[in-house]
Amino acid sequence: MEPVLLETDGITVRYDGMARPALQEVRVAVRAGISLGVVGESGSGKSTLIRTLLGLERPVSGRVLFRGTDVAALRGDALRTFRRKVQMVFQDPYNSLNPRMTVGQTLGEVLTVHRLAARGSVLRVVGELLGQVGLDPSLAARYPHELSGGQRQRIGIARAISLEPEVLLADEPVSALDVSVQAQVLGLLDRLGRERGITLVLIAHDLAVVAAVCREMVVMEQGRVVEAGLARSVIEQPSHPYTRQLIAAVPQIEPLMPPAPL
Amino acid sequence: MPDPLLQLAEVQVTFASDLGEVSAVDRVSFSVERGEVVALVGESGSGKSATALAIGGLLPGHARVGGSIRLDGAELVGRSATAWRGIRGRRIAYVFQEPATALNPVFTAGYQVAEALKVAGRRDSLEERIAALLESVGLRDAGRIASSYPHQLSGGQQQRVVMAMALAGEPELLIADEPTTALDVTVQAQILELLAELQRSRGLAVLLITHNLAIAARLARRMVVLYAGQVVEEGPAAEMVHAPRHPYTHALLRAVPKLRGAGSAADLVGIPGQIPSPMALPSGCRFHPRCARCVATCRGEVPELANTGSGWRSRCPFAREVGT
Repeated sequence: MEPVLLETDGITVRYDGMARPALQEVRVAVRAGISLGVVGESGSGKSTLIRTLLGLERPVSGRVLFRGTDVAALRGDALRTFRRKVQMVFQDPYNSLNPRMTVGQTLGEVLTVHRLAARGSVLRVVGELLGQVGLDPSLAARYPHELSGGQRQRIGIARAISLEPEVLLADEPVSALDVSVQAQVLGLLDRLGRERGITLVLIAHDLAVVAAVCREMVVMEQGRVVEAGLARSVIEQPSHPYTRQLIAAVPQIEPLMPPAPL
Repeated sequence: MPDPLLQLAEVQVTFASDLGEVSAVDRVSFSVERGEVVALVGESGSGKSATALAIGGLLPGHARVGGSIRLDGAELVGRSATAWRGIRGRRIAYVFQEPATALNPVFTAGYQVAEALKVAGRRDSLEERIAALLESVGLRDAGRIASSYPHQLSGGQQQRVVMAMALAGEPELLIADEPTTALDVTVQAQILELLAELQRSRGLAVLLITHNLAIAARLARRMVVLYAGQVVEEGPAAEMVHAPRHPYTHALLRAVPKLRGAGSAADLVGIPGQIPSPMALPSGCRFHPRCARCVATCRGEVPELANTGSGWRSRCPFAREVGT
Protein backbone atom coordinates (compact mmCIF):
# COMPACT_ATOMS: atom_id res chain seq x y z
CA MET A 1 0.00 0.00 0.00
CA GLU A 2 1.32 3.43 -0.97
CA PRO A 3 2.33 5.69 1.93
CA VAL A 4 -0.14 8.38 2.97
CA LEU A 5 1.20 11.87 2.23
CA LEU A 6 -1.59 14.06 3.46
CA GLU A 7 -4.69 13.11 5.41
CA THR A 8 -7.45 14.38 7.63
CA ASP A 9 -8.56 12.17 10.49
CA GLY A 10 -12.19 13.29 10.76
CA ILE A 11 -11.90 17.05 10.84
CA THR A 12 -14.66 19.48 11.69
CA VAL A 13 -14.31 23.10 10.61
CA ARG A 14 -16.70 25.78 11.76
CA TYR A 15 -17.00 29.40 10.65
CA ASP A 16 -18.36 32.04 13.03
CA GLY A 17 -22.02 32.76 12.54
CA MET A 18 -22.71 29.68 10.43
CA ALA A 19 -25.34 27.28 11.76
CA ARG A 20 -23.78 24.21 10.15
CA PRO A 21 -20.08 23.34 10.25
CA ALA A 22 -18.33 23.87 6.90
CA LEU A 23 -16.76 20.44 7.30
CA GLN A 24 -18.14 17.65 9.47
CA GLU A 25 -15.90 14.76 10.48
CA VAL A 26 -14.24 14.65 7.10
CA ARG A 27 -11.78 11.87 6.47
CA VAL A 28 -9.65 11.90 3.32
CA ALA A 29 -6.27 10.37 2.61
CA VAL A 30 -3.95 11.34 -0.20
CA ARG A 31 -1.70 8.39 -0.94
CA ALA A 32 1.52 8.78 -2.89
CA GLY A 33 1.00 8.49 -6.62
CA ILE A 34 -2.77 8.03 -6.42
CA SER A 35 -4.56 11.06 -7.80
CA LEU A 36 -7.62 12.01 -5.79
CA GLY A 37 -10.66 13.87 -7.08
CA VAL A 38 -12.88 15.86 -4.74
CA VAL A 39 -16.32 16.46 -6.23
CA GLY A 40 -19.02 18.71 -4.91
CA GLU A 41 -21.11 21.78 -5.64
CA SER A 42 -21.28 25.20 -4.00
CA GLY A 43 -21.55 24.79 -0.25
CA SER A 44 -20.20 21.23 -0.26
CA GLY A 45 -17.14 22.28 1.72
CA LYS A 46 -14.58 21.43 -0.92
CA SER A 47 -12.91 24.86 -0.82
CA THR A 48 -12.78 24.73 2.98
CA LEU A 49 -11.20 21.29 2.70
CA ILE A 50 -8.42 22.69 0.52
CA ARG A 51 -7.80 25.62 2.83
CA THR A 52 -7.61 23.23 5.75
CA LEU A 53 -5.26 20.86 3.92
CA LEU A 54 -2.97 23.82 3.25
CA GLY A 55 -3.02 24.70 6.94
CA LEU A 56 -4.93 27.95 6.34
CA GLU A 57 -7.93 26.93 8.45
CA ARG A 58 -7.78 25.30 11.88
CA PRO A 59 -10.22 22.47 12.48
CA VAL A 60 -12.15 22.67 15.75
CA SER A 61 -11.63 18.95 16.06
CA GLY A 62 -9.49 16.45 14.21
CA ARG A 63 -6.08 16.94 12.65
CA VAL A 64 -4.45 17.40 9.26
CA LEU A 65 -1.44 15.13 9.00
CA PHE A 66 1.44 15.55 6.56
CA ARG A 67 3.46 12.36 6.47
CA GLY A 68 2.03 11.47 9.83
CA THR A 69 2.79 14.78 11.57
CA ASP A 70 0.08 17.20 12.73
CA VAL A 71 0.35 20.23 10.46
CA ALA A 72 -0.75 22.54 13.31
CA ALA A 73 2.36 21.53 15.25
CA LEU A 74 4.84 22.29 12.46
CA ARG A 75 7.35 25.08 13.13
CA GLY A 76 10.46 26.49 11.51
CA ASP A 77 12.11 24.34 8.85
CA ALA A 78 9.46 21.63 9.11
CA LEU A 79 6.74 24.20 8.38
CA ARG A 80 8.71 25.61 5.45
CA THR A 81 9.16 22.12 4.03
CA PHE A 82 5.42 21.46 4.35
CA ARG A 83 4.61 24.76 2.62
CA ARG A 84 6.91 23.80 -0.22
CA LYS A 85 5.81 20.19 -0.56
CA VAL A 86 2.09 20.98 -0.76
CA GLN A 87 1.40 23.38 -3.61
CA MET A 88 -1.72 24.93 -5.04
CA VAL A 89 -3.09 25.73 -8.49
CA PHE A 90 -6.01 28.14 -8.55
CA GLN A 91 -9.08 28.36 -10.76
CA ASP A 92 -8.19 31.72 -12.23
CA PRO A 93 -4.44 32.21 -12.35
CA TYR A 94 -4.97 35.79 -13.49
CA ASN A 95 -5.84 36.74 -9.92
CA SER A 96 -2.77 35.02 -8.55
CA LEU A 97 -0.16 36.43 -10.93
CA ASN A 98 1.33 39.87 -10.33
CA PRO A 99 0.25 42.01 -13.31
CA ARG A 100 3.41 44.15 -13.09
CA MET A 101 5.83 41.25 -13.22
CA THR A 102 6.82 39.30 -16.30
CA VAL A 103 6.35 35.56 -16.28
CA GLY A 104 10.13 35.18 -15.93
CA GLN A 105 10.25 37.53 -12.92
CA THR A 106 7.36 35.71 -11.21
CA LEU A 107 8.90 32.29 -11.67
CA GLY A 108 12.41 33.57 -10.94
CA GLU A 109 11.32 35.12 -7.64
CA VAL A 110 9.92 31.81 -6.42
CA LEU A 111 13.16 30.05 -7.32
CA THR A 112 15.33 32.70 -5.61
CA VAL A 113 13.26 32.94 -2.43
CA HIS A 114 13.34 29.18 -1.96
CA ARG A 115 17.01 29.01 -3.06
CA LEU A 116 16.17 26.47 -5.74
CA ALA A 117 18.38 28.04 -8.38
CA ALA A 118 21.65 29.89 -8.14
CA ARG A 119 21.55 33.52 -9.28
CA GLY A 120 23.30 32.74 -12.55
CA SER A 121 21.06 29.85 -13.45
CA VAL A 122 17.60 31.34 -12.78
CA LEU A 123 16.95 32.17 -16.42
CA ARG A 124 17.87 28.69 -17.55
CA VAL A 125 15.67 27.04 -14.90
CA VAL A 126 12.74 29.32 -15.80
CA GLY A 127 13.14 28.27 -19.42
CA GLU A 128 13.13 24.61 -18.40
CA LEU A 129 10.02 25.08 -16.28
CA LEU A 130 8.18 26.73 -19.16
CA GLY A 131 9.21 23.85 -21.41
CA GLN A 132 7.88 21.33 -18.90
CA VAL A 133 4.42 22.88 -18.97
CA GLY A 134 4.42 23.00 -22.75
CA LEU A 135 5.19 26.70 -23.21
CA ASP A 136 7.82 28.39 -25.31
CA PRO A 137 10.68 29.76 -23.14
CA SER A 138 10.31 33.11 -24.92
CA LEU A 139 7.08 33.66 -22.93
CA ALA A 140 9.29 34.54 -19.95
CA ALA A 141 9.40 38.12 -21.22
CA ARG A 142 5.60 38.50 -21.32
CA TYR A 143 3.20 39.99 -18.79
CA PRO A 144 0.12 38.05 -17.59
CA HIS A 145 -2.32 40.18 -19.61
CA GLU A 146 -0.50 39.23 -22.80
CA LEU A 147 -1.29 35.55 -22.27
CA SER A 148 -4.36 33.43 -23.00
CA GLY A 149 -6.28 31.73 -20.18
CA GLY A 150 -4.67 28.39 -20.96
CA GLN A 151 -1.17 29.88 -21.00
CA ARG A 152 -1.80 31.61 -17.67
CA GLN A 153 -2.98 28.36 -16.14
CA ARG A 154 0.21 26.69 -17.38
CA ILE A 155 2.23 29.46 -15.68
CA GLY A 156 0.32 28.79 -12.45
CA ILE A 157 1.23 25.12 -12.79
CA ALA A 158 4.89 25.96 -13.59
CA ARG A 159 5.09 28.10 -10.46
CA ALA A 160 3.63 25.31 -8.33
CA ILE A 161 5.93 22.60 -9.69
CA SER A 162 9.01 24.83 -9.49
CA LEU A 163 9.02 24.05 -5.75
CA GLU A 164 9.17 20.33 -6.45
CA PRO A 165 6.05 19.55 -4.43
CA GLU A 166 4.84 16.10 -3.46
CA VAL A 167 1.19 17.11 -3.48
CA LEU A 168 -0.47 19.48 -5.94
CA LEU A 169 -3.89 20.78 -4.93
CA ALA A 170 -5.72 22.04 -8.00
CA ASP A 171 -8.98 23.92 -7.31
CA GLU A 172 -11.20 23.87 -10.41
CA PRO A 173 -8.11 24.36 -12.59
CA VAL A 174 -9.97 24.05 -15.89
CA SER A 175 -13.48 25.31 -15.22
CA ALA A 176 -12.65 28.78 -16.58
CA LEU A 177 -11.06 27.40 -19.75
CA ASP A 178 -12.41 26.49 -23.18
CA VAL A 179 -13.02 22.82 -23.73
CA SER A 180 -10.08 22.30 -26.13
CA VAL A 181 -7.72 24.00 -23.66
CA GLN A 182 -9.24 22.05 -20.74
CA ALA A 183 -8.14 18.82 -22.34
CA GLN A 184 -4.59 20.16 -22.78
CA VAL A 185 -4.31 21.29 -19.15
CA LEU A 186 -5.81 18.06 -17.77
CA GLY A 187 -3.36 16.09 -19.90
CA LEU A 188 -0.52 18.22 -18.53
CA LEU A 189 -1.55 17.66 -14.89
CA ASP A 190 -1.83 13.95 -15.53
CA ARG A 191 1.60 13.80 -17.20
CA LEU A 192 3.31 15.82 -14.45
CA GLY A 193 1.88 13.46 -11.88
CA ARG A 194 3.28 10.43 -13.62
CA GLU A 195 6.63 11.85 -14.70
CA ARG A 196 7.56 13.90 -11.66
CA GLY A 197 5.97 11.87 -8.91
CA ILE A 198 3.58 14.63 -7.92
CA THR A 199 0.32 13.46 -6.41
CA LEU A 200 -2.61 15.41 -7.71
CA VAL A 201 -5.64 16.40 -5.68
CA LEU A 202 -8.19 17.76 -8.13
CA ILE A 203 -11.18 19.67 -6.88
CA ALA A 204 -13.92 19.93 -9.47
CA HIS A 205 -17.67 20.15 -9.83
CA ASP A 206 -17.51 18.29 -13.14
CA LEU A 207 -17.46 14.55 -12.55
CA ALA A 208 -16.26 13.91 -16.10
CA VAL A 209 -13.13 16.00 -15.45
CA VAL A 210 -12.39 13.98 -12.32
CA ALA A 211 -13.10 10.72 -14.15
CA ALA A 212 -10.55 11.64 -16.80
CA VAL A 213 -7.67 12.30 -14.40
CA CYS A 214 -8.22 10.76 -10.96
CA ARG A 215 -7.88 7.21 -9.71
CA GLU A 216 -9.84 7.77 -6.52
CA MET A 217 -12.55 10.20 -5.64
CA VAL A 218 -14.63 11.52 -2.78
CA VAL A 219 -18.04 13.11 -3.21
CA MET A 220 -18.92 15.90 -0.80
CA GLU A 221 -22.29 17.32 0.09
CA GLN A 222 -22.96 19.97 2.75
CA GLY A 223 -19.67 19.52 4.53
CA ARG A 224 -19.68 15.72 4.59
CA VAL A 225 -18.07 13.03 2.49
CA VAL A 226 -21.05 11.06 1.22
CA GLU A 227 -19.18 8.63 -0.99
CA ALA A 228 -15.56 7.60 -1.56
CA GLY A 229 -13.78 4.98 -3.62
CA LEU A 230 -12.16 4.26 -6.95
CA ALA A 231 -13.32 6.96 -9.36
CA ARG A 232 -14.41 4.40 -11.93
CA SER A 233 -16.46 2.36 -9.44
CA VAL A 234 -18.13 5.45 -8.02
CA ILE A 235 -19.21 6.52 -11.49
CA GLU A 236 -20.24 3.06 -12.67
CA GLN A 237 -21.97 2.05 -9.44
CA PRO A 238 -22.79 5.08 -7.31
CA SER A 239 -24.26 4.13 -3.97
CA HIS A 240 -25.34 7.53 -2.61
CA PRO A 241 -28.40 9.28 -4.07
CA TYR A 242 -26.51 12.59 -4.29
CA THR A 243 -23.76 10.96 -6.37
CA ARG A 244 -26.41 9.53 -8.68
CA GLN A 245 -27.96 13.00 -8.98
CA LEU A 246 -24.57 14.52 -9.85
CA ILE A 247 -23.88 11.86 -12.46
CA ALA A 248 -27.28 12.34 -14.08
CA ALA A 249 -26.68 16.10 -14.27
CA VAL A 250 -23.41 15.97 -16.24
CA PRO A 251 -24.19 16.88 -19.85
CA GLN A 252 -23.01 14.01 -21.99
CA ILE A 253 -23.38 13.13 -25.61
CA GLU A 254 -25.63 10.12 -25.55
CA PRO A 255 -24.41 7.06 -27.44
CA LEU A 256 -26.12 6.60 -30.79
CA MET A 257 -27.20 3.02 -30.09
CA PRO A 258 -27.76 1.28 -26.78
CA PRO A 259 -24.92 -1.16 -26.12
CA ALA A 260 -25.68 -4.56 -27.59
CA PRO A 261 -26.74 -7.16 -25.00
CA LEU A 262 -24.08 -9.74 -24.26
CA MET B 1 -42.46 30.16 -47.71
CA PRO B 2 -42.74 32.53 -44.74
CA ASP B 3 -39.65 34.34 -43.55
CA PRO B 4 -37.71 32.62 -40.78
CA LEU B 5 -38.07 34.32 -37.40
CA LEU B 6 -34.44 35.36 -37.45
CA GLN B 7 -32.21 35.45 -40.49
CA LEU B 8 -28.57 36.46 -40.52
CA ALA B 9 -27.01 36.99 -43.95
CA GLU B 10 -23.32 37.76 -44.41
CA VAL B 11 -23.13 39.43 -41.02
CA GLN B 12 -19.87 41.15 -40.28
CA VAL B 13 -18.77 42.74 -37.03
CA THR B 14 -15.64 44.84 -36.93
CA PHE B 15 -14.16 46.75 -34.03
CA ALA B 16 -12.14 49.91 -34.38
CA SER B 17 -8.85 49.58 -32.53
CA ASP B 18 -5.48 51.33 -32.31
CA LEU B 19 -4.21 48.85 -34.87
CA GLY B 20 -7.06 49.52 -37.30
CA GLU B 21 -10.23 47.59 -38.02
CA VAL B 22 -10.42 44.17 -36.41
CA SER B 23 -12.90 41.65 -37.78
CA ALA B 24 -14.62 39.58 -35.07
CA VAL B 25 -17.43 38.12 -37.15
CA ASP B 26 -16.88 37.38 -40.82
CA ARG B 27 -19.87 36.86 -43.14
CA VAL B 28 -21.89 34.70 -40.78
CA SER B 29 -25.21 33.41 -42.13
CA PHE B 30 -27.79 31.21 -40.44
CA SER B 31 -31.41 31.35 -39.46
CA VAL B 32 -33.69 30.43 -36.58
CA GLU B 33 -37.24 29.28 -37.28
CA ARG B 34 -40.17 30.03 -34.97
CA GLY B 35 -40.11 27.77 -31.93
CA GLU B 36 -36.75 26.31 -32.85
CA VAL B 37 -33.69 25.89 -30.64
CA VAL B 38 -30.45 26.60 -32.49
CA ALA B 39 -27.09 26.30 -30.77
CA LEU B 40 -24.24 28.64 -31.67
CA VAL B 41 -21.12 26.79 -30.61
CA GLY B 42 -17.57 28.02 -30.34
CA GLU B 43 -14.69 28.83 -28.02
CA SER B 44 -13.43 32.16 -26.73
CA GLY B 45 -12.57 34.30 -29.72
CA SER B 46 -14.87 32.44 -32.09
CA GLY B 47 -17.18 35.43 -32.46
CA LYS B 48 -20.22 33.80 -30.89
CA SER B 49 -20.89 36.50 -28.32
CA ALA B 50 -20.27 39.32 -30.82
CA THR B 51 -22.83 37.66 -33.10
CA ALA B 52 -25.32 37.35 -30.24
CA LEU B 53 -24.91 41.01 -29.26
CA ALA B 54 -25.16 42.17 -32.88
CA ILE B 55 -28.61 40.58 -33.18
CA GLY B 56 -30.02 42.77 -30.40
CA GLY B 57 -28.05 45.86 -31.38
CA LEU B 58 -26.12 45.65 -28.11
CA LEU B 59 -22.57 46.07 -29.40
CA PRO B 60 -20.53 49.02 -28.13
CA GLY B 61 -20.15 52.20 -30.17
CA HIS B 62 -16.80 51.33 -31.70
CA ALA B 63 -18.25 48.22 -33.34
CA ARG B 64 -19.59 48.23 -36.87
CA VAL B 65 -22.14 45.74 -38.11
CA GLY B 66 -22.43 44.86 -41.78
CA GLY B 67 -24.66 42.47 -43.69
CA SER B 68 -28.26 41.81 -42.83
CA ILE B 69 -30.06 40.65 -39.68
CA ARG B 70 -33.79 40.25 -40.22
CA LEU B 71 -36.42 39.59 -37.60
CA ASP B 72 -39.58 38.31 -39.24
CA GLY B 73 -38.39 39.89 -42.47
CA ALA B 74 -37.68 43.33 -40.97
CA GLU B 75 -34.10 44.61 -41.12
CA LEU B 76 -32.44 45.22 -37.74
CA VAL B 77 -29.02 46.41 -38.92
CA GLY B 78 -28.69 50.20 -38.88
CA ARG B 79 -31.70 50.91 -36.65
CA SER B 80 -31.70 54.02 -34.49
CA ALA B 81 -31.94 53.73 -30.73
CA THR B 82 -35.65 54.62 -30.76
CA ALA B 83 -36.36 52.08 -33.49
CA TRP B 84 -35.03 49.38 -31.17
CA ARG B 85 -37.84 50.03 -28.72
CA GLY B 86 -40.55 47.51 -29.19
CA ILE B 87 -38.02 44.93 -30.31
CA ARG B 88 -35.48 44.46 -27.55
CA GLY B 89 -37.19 43.04 -24.47
CA ARG B 90 -40.44 42.50 -26.35
CA ARG B 91 -39.57 40.39 -29.35
CA ILE B 92 -35.95 39.52 -28.56
CA ALA B 93 -34.82 38.92 -24.98
CA TYR B 94 -31.47 37.97 -23.50
CA VAL B 95 -30.22 35.80 -20.66
CA PHE B 96 -26.51 36.09 -19.87
CA GLN B 97 -23.98 33.99 -18.04
CA GLU B 98 -23.76 35.64 -14.63
CA PRO B 99 -27.21 36.11 -13.08
CA ALA B 100 -25.68 38.01 -10.17
CA THR B 101 -24.45 40.76 -12.48
CA ALA B 102 -27.72 40.90 -14.44
CA LEU B 103 -29.68 41.68 -11.28
CA ASN B 104 -29.50 44.94 -9.36
CA PRO B 105 -28.39 44.10 -5.79
CA VAL B 106 -30.40 46.89 -4.12
CA PHE B 107 -33.85 45.98 -5.48
CA THR B 108 -35.98 42.94 -4.71
CA ALA B 109 -36.55 40.28 -7.35
CA GLY B 110 -40.22 41.26 -7.54
CA TYR B 111 -39.39 44.94 -8.15
CA GLN B 112 -37.04 44.01 -10.98
CA VAL B 113 -39.58 41.70 -12.62
CA ALA B 114 -42.13 44.54 -12.30
CA GLU B 115 -39.71 46.92 -14.07
CA ALA B 116 -39.31 44.41 -16.89
CA LEU B 117 -43.11 44.18 -17.17
CA LYS B 118 -43.49 47.97 -17.29
CA VAL B 119 -40.82 48.30 -19.97
CA ALA B 120 -42.72 45.67 -21.93
CA GLY B 121 -45.84 47.83 -21.63
CA ARG B 122 -47.68 45.54 -19.25
CA ARG B 123 -48.63 47.82 -16.39
CA ASP B 124 -51.95 46.38 -15.23
CA SER B 125 -52.33 43.75 -12.48
CA LEU B 126 -48.60 43.72 -11.85
CA GLU B 127 -48.79 41.58 -8.69
CA GLU B 128 -50.51 38.74 -10.48
CA ARG B 129 -48.23 38.98 -13.49
CA ILE B 130 -45.10 38.85 -11.31
CA ALA B 131 -46.35 35.77 -9.49
CA ALA B 132 -47.35 34.08 -12.74
CA LEU B 133 -43.96 34.82 -14.33
CA LEU B 134 -41.99 33.55 -11.33
CA GLU B 135 -44.09 30.40 -11.28
CA SER B 136 -43.61 29.88 -15.01
CA VAL B 137 -39.86 29.66 -14.46
CA GLY B 138 -40.29 27.06 -11.76
CA LEU B 139 -40.09 29.31 -8.70
CA ARG B 140 -42.88 27.84 -6.61
CA ASP B 141 -42.73 30.10 -3.57
CA ALA B 142 -43.28 33.17 -5.75
CA GLY B 143 -44.29 35.48 -2.90
CA ARG B 144 -41.14 34.87 -0.89
CA ILE B 145 -38.89 35.05 -3.97
CA ALA B 146 -40.48 38.33 -5.08
CA SER B 147 -39.69 39.98 -1.74
CA SER B 148 -36.10 38.64 -1.66
CA TYR B 149 -32.99 40.58 -2.64
CA PRO B 150 -30.64 38.89 -5.12
CA HIS B 151 -28.07 37.98 -2.45
CA GLN B 152 -30.75 36.06 -0.57
CA LEU B 153 -31.27 33.78 -3.58
CA SER B 154 -29.18 30.87 -4.82
CA GLY B 155 -27.46 31.06 -8.23
CA GLY B 156 -30.15 28.89 -9.77
CA GLN B 157 -32.95 31.02 -8.32
CA GLN B 158 -31.22 34.18 -9.57
CA GLN B 159 -30.97 32.77 -13.08
CA ARG B 160 -34.68 31.84 -12.95
CA VAL B 161 -35.53 35.42 -11.93
CA VAL B 162 -33.46 36.69 -14.87
CA MET B 163 -35.40 34.34 -17.14
CA ALA B 164 -38.69 35.59 -15.71
CA MET B 165 -37.60 39.15 -16.58
CA ALA B 166 -36.65 38.02 -20.08
CA LEU B 167 -40.09 36.46 -20.54
CA ALA B 168 -41.92 39.58 -19.25
CA GLY B 169 -42.33 40.96 -22.77
CA GLU B 170 -43.42 37.59 -24.15
CA PRO B 171 -40.55 37.52 -26.65
CA GLU B 172 -40.51 35.29 -29.70
CA LEU B 173 -36.75 34.82 -29.52
CA LEU B 174 -34.63 34.22 -26.43
CA ILE B 175 -30.89 34.62 -26.82
CA ALA B 176 -29.23 32.65 -24.03
CA ASP B 177 -25.48 33.35 -23.86
CA GLU B 178 -23.81 30.60 -21.77
CA PRO B 179 -26.82 30.69 -19.40
CA THR B 180 -25.56 27.84 -17.19
CA THR B 181 -21.79 28.21 -17.23
CA ALA B 182 -21.63 29.91 -13.84
CA LEU B 183 -23.97 27.41 -12.16
CA ASP B 184 -23.47 24.14 -10.31
CA VAL B 185 -23.96 21.06 -12.42
CA THR B 186 -27.27 19.93 -10.88
CA VAL B 187 -28.65 23.48 -11.16
CA GLN B 188 -27.39 23.64 -14.74
CA ALA B 189 -29.43 20.53 -15.57
CA GLN B 190 -32.56 22.15 -14.09
CA ILE B 191 -32.11 25.41 -16.02
CA LEU B 192 -31.59 23.51 -19.28
CA GLU B 193 -34.75 21.53 -18.60
CA LEU B 194 -36.57 24.81 -17.98
CA LEU B 195 -35.36 26.23 -21.31
CA ALA B 196 -36.58 23.10 -23.09
CA GLU B 197 -39.91 23.35 -21.28
CA LEU B 198 -40.37 27.04 -22.23
CA GLN B 199 -39.58 26.22 -25.82
CA ARG B 200 -42.25 23.49 -25.84
CA SER B 201 -44.96 25.30 -23.90
CA ARG B 202 -44.58 28.80 -25.34
CA GLY B 203 -43.21 27.98 -28.75
CA LEU B 204 -40.24 30.16 -27.82
CA ALA B 205 -37.35 30.19 -30.29
CA VAL B 206 -34.00 29.97 -28.51
CA LEU B 207 -30.55 30.86 -29.78
CA LEU B 208 -28.35 29.03 -27.29
CA ILE B 209 -24.76 30.17 -27.17
CA THR B 210 -22.43 27.66 -25.59
CA HIS B 211 -18.96 26.15 -25.79
CA ASN B 212 -20.31 22.83 -24.52
CA LEU B 213 -21.31 20.49 -27.35
CA ALA B 214 -23.12 18.12 -25.01
CA ILE B 215 -25.40 20.94 -23.87
CA ALA B 216 -25.93 22.02 -27.46
CA ALA B 217 -26.91 18.50 -28.50
CA ARG B 218 -29.24 18.10 -25.54
CA LEU B 219 -31.31 21.16 -26.37
CA ALA B 220 -30.87 22.20 -29.96
CA ARG B 221 -32.30 20.86 -33.19
CA ARG B 222 -29.62 22.53 -35.26
CA MET B 223 -26.09 23.57 -34.44
CA VAL B 224 -23.90 26.29 -35.94
CA VAL B 225 -20.18 25.95 -35.17
CA LEU B 226 -18.05 29.10 -35.30
CA TYR B 227 -14.27 29.27 -35.55
CA ALA B 228 -12.24 32.47 -35.73
CA GLY B 229 -15.31 34.49 -36.70
CA GLN B 230 -16.59 32.18 -39.42
CA VAL B 231 -19.20 29.44 -39.60
CA VAL B 232 -17.27 26.21 -40.17
CA GLU B 233 -20.17 23.81 -39.90
CA GLU B 234 -23.94 23.89 -39.63
CA GLY B 235 -26.29 20.93 -39.45
CA PRO B 236 -28.62 18.74 -37.40
CA ALA B 237 -27.30 18.73 -33.81
CA ALA B 238 -28.02 15.12 -32.91
CA GLU B 239 -26.27 13.80 -35.99
CA MET B 240 -23.42 16.27 -35.93
CA VAL B 241 -22.19 15.21 -32.49
CA HIS B 242 -21.80 11.65 -33.76
CA ALA B 243 -20.62 12.27 -37.31
CA PRO B 244 -19.27 15.82 -37.67
CA ARG B 245 -18.33 17.09 -41.10
CA HIS B 246 -15.66 19.58 -40.09
CA PRO B 247 -12.34 18.69 -38.41
CA TYR B 248 -12.78 21.48 -35.85
CA THR B 249 -16.14 20.09 -34.67
CA HIS B 250 -14.54 16.66 -34.58
CA ALA B 251 -11.63 17.94 -32.49
CA LEU B 252 -13.98 19.78 -30.11
CA LEU B 253 -15.97 16.59 -29.59
CA ARG B 254 -12.84 14.62 -28.78
CA ALA B 255 -11.84 17.23 -26.21
CA VAL B 256 -15.01 16.79 -24.12
CA PRO B 257 -14.26 14.62 -21.07
CA LYS B 258 -16.46 11.53 -21.04
CA LEU B 259 -18.03 10.24 -17.87
CA ARG B 260 -18.12 6.61 -18.89
CA GLY B 261 -15.83 4.55 -21.01
CA ALA B 262 -13.04 7.03 -20.44
CA GLY B 263 -9.66 5.44 -20.02
CA SER B 264 -7.47 8.21 -18.70
CA ALA B 265 -6.39 11.74 -19.38
CA ALA B 266 -4.29 10.29 -22.19
CA ASP B 267 -7.55 9.67 -24.06
CA LEU B 268 -8.50 13.31 -23.77
CA VAL B 269 -7.32 14.97 -26.91
CA GLY B 270 -6.89 18.71 -26.71
CA ILE B 271 -6.63 20.81 -29.83
CA PRO B 272 -3.02 21.94 -30.20
CA GLY B 273 -2.40 25.68 -30.28
CA GLN B 274 -5.14 28.24 -29.89
CA ILE B 275 -7.68 30.27 -31.86
CA PRO B 276 -5.76 32.78 -33.98
CA SER B 277 -5.94 36.45 -33.14
CA PRO B 278 -8.19 38.37 -35.56
CA MET B 279 -5.12 40.51 -36.24
CA ALA B 280 -3.06 37.54 -37.41
CA LEU B 281 -5.33 35.17 -39.27
CA PRO B 282 -3.62 32.29 -41.06
CA SER B 283 -3.74 32.00 -44.84
CA GLY B 284 -6.17 29.58 -46.48
CA CYS B 285 -8.38 27.70 -44.03
CA ARG B 286 -8.33 29.48 -40.68
CA PHE B 287 -8.20 26.17 -38.84
CA HIS B 288 -5.35 24.66 -40.87
CA PRO B 289 -2.48 25.26 -38.36
CA ARG B 290 -4.35 23.18 -35.76
CA CYS B 291 -5.90 20.62 -38.09
CA ALA B 292 -4.84 16.98 -38.09
CA ARG B 293 -6.03 16.54 -41.69
CA CYS B 294 -4.30 19.58 -43.14
CA VAL B 295 -2.89 19.20 -46.66
CA ALA B 296 -1.09 21.68 -48.93
CA THR B 297 -4.25 23.19 -50.45
CA CYS B 298 -5.59 24.02 -46.95
CA ARG B 299 -2.72 26.49 -46.50
CA GLY B 300 -3.29 28.28 -49.75
CA GLU B 301 -6.97 28.15 -50.63
CA VAL B 302 -9.80 29.65 -48.62
CA PRO B 303 -12.47 26.93 -48.37
CA GLU B 304 -16.09 27.84 -49.06
CA LEU B 305 -18.92 26.95 -46.72
CA ALA B 306 -20.46 24.32 -48.98
CA ASN B 307 -23.69 22.37 -48.86
CA THR B 308 -23.06 18.76 -48.00
CA GLY B 309 -26.68 17.66 -48.23
CA SER B 310 -29.89 17.80 -46.13
CA GLY B 311 -29.39 21.23 -44.60
CA TRP B 312 -25.82 20.50 -43.64
CA ARG B 313 -22.97 22.86 -44.51
CA SER B 314 -19.23 22.47 -43.96
CA ARG B 315 -16.23 24.65 -44.66
CA CYS B 316 -13.97 21.67 -45.30
CA PRO B 317 -13.36 20.06 -48.70
CA PHE B 318 -12.92 16.76 -46.88
CA ALA B 319 -16.29 17.04 -45.10
CA ARG B 320 -17.29 13.49 -45.87
CA GLU B 321 -14.08 11.96 -44.53
CA VAL B 322 -14.05 13.74 -41.17
CA GLY B 323 -14.30 11.40 -38.22
CA THR B 324 -13.49 8.32 -40.25
